[in-house]
Amino acid sequence: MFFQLVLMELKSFYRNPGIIFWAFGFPLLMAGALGSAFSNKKESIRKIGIIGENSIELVSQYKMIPVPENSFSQYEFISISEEDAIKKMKRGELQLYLESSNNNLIFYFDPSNSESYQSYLLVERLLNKSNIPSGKIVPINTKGSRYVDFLIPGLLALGIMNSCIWGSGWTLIEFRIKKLMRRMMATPLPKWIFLMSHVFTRFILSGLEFIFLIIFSYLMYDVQIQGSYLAMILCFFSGNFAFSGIAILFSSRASSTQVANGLINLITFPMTICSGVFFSYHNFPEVAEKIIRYFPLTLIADSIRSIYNEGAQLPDVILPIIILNIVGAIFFSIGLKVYKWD
Amino acid sequence: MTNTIEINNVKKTFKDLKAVDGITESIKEGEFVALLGPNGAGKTTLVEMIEGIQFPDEGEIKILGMNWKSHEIEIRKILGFSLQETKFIDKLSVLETMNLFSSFYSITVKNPEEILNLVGLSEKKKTYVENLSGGQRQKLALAISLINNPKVLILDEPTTGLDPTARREIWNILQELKKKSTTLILTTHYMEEAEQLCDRILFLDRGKILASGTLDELLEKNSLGEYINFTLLKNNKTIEWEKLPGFRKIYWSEQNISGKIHVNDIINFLPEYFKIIKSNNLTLLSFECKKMTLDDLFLSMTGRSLED
Repeated sequence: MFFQLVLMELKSFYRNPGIIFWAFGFPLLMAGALGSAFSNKKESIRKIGIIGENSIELVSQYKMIPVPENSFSQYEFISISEEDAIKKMKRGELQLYLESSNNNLIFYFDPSNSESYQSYLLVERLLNKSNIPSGKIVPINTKGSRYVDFLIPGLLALGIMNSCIWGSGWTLIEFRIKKLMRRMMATPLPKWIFLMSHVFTRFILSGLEFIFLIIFSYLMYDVQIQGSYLAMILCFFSGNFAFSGIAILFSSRASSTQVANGLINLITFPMTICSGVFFSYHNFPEVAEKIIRYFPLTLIADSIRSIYNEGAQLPDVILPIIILNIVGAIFFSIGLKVYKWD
Repeated sequence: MTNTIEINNVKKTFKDLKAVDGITESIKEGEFVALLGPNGAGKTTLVEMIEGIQFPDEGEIKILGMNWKSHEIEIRKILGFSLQETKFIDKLSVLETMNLFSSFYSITVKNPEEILNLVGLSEKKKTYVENLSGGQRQKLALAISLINNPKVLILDEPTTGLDPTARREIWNILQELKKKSTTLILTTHYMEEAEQLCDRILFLDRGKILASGTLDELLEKNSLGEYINFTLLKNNKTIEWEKLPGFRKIYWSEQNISGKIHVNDIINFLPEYFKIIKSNNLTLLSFECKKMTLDDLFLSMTGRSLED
């Protein structure tokens, strides 16, 4: 009796190839992707900015310092202007920069960012071994440079993605599974109006989520939009449009919740991890980084982040906005063509 | 009368199964037609092709002279139907659901509340769909099919699973529609429903139309006669029933004590039947004479019951 029940469960599992893929294939794929980003720490390179008049000399001096054999990190010292260093810090491309003043080192970073703090400890140890005395730490927590300034724009972008994919995509698949769509499509209702109504509903709902998060982060952490409001609004709409298109294409054929769940995870999970929502995507190998840069979520997160922290104006983010709209239009029209209505 | 629906050599195959196998039929304006057949006969596939939900592999279907390829929107405007299984949005009320569907038709011909009144759902108009009983949901599906004041109404098993009272209520609503010269196609496996509502009956089996006509025509054309159903306390296998006047066929139950005799003429048959019962000292536990029904007719044509 017990074994019959176990057998029943196993049979319904392996007789559904979709579930097998999501149970075994997908975790392996994810492990592979994330593994390439984080497992090979010896290869990971910590970029350290050096500012000041003598920065070029310091870079060549520090380059000569041998990295201890038991170290898991390599270091790339770059000479950089303070302005650029701050910009790169805001984008998460740089975790730390330093300056040598009267033979004393000054480290600039946000101590609340664990990545930065780790870089500081490692670099300080490395330099100490070469008898370069460490000096003071200048905590960078001016607006736009703190970890929370990095995080909030990422969360706003993530909100847009989740709202569209789960909100539109999942609802549409559920409509199909429950056969709600079938009856509606048998009326003179034009198909594109049906789909656009979902996209529009998402604009309203994710718009509210977006505004709430902006107000909350302003009141709680004083995270402020430094750039153009118009650019921000356009980013929001373009991001929504892109992800609504993606949601419609991905929901166009799925007719079981398992497959739907898997598909949605396939889209959202890699982007959530890789697109620089919680941590910078500059940890990934260079080839991967070049691809990740053009993920829709990365485009939205980077644009919102630059509007928030770098005071970006519309021309600064117009390219990602155009790309997002093209992505939306392409996915939407393919989705409409291949949509399974019953 | 003109033909409202014309079905011309329509075929539909799913993998190896010929669901609809070359059906040609026409339905006149104002005609009420029942599609009868057991499960898997091809009824739903055929009506879904008429409804433009599925499309034939071969052949053509015309509704008021229009076909699905070139006049989809026009046909949708004049067509009303309820699917075999229709689900609506759980968290919408009955009236909200009606308003939603009426918005899909550019001209709202009828007031949703009026239709709810017609189908007897007025009291439930504020109830969420998820809280409706099975019968009420069927009525809502029917109400939605009437929103556009359709010229052609197609109902796929509208009363399956309903209790007799709810079924009769739906019949009454449909009989009202008959007065307005609506053309109706109804699939059912309840012969009584077909008998009560429809002018013409199409028997479907294995994707083909076996017979078509009014109830009387079908009975007359295919198999005259009546049935005697009886149960004996104990059977006597030596009796030669087939020698009785007007005998056609006997069907015995598994225990061989309940029998069903198909006869040509019950008046001549019965006296001789009772003589045999008496002379063999048989005890009759039950006895019933019946006119032939659609189910009996179907049984005699296919060897299977409609409710299989």
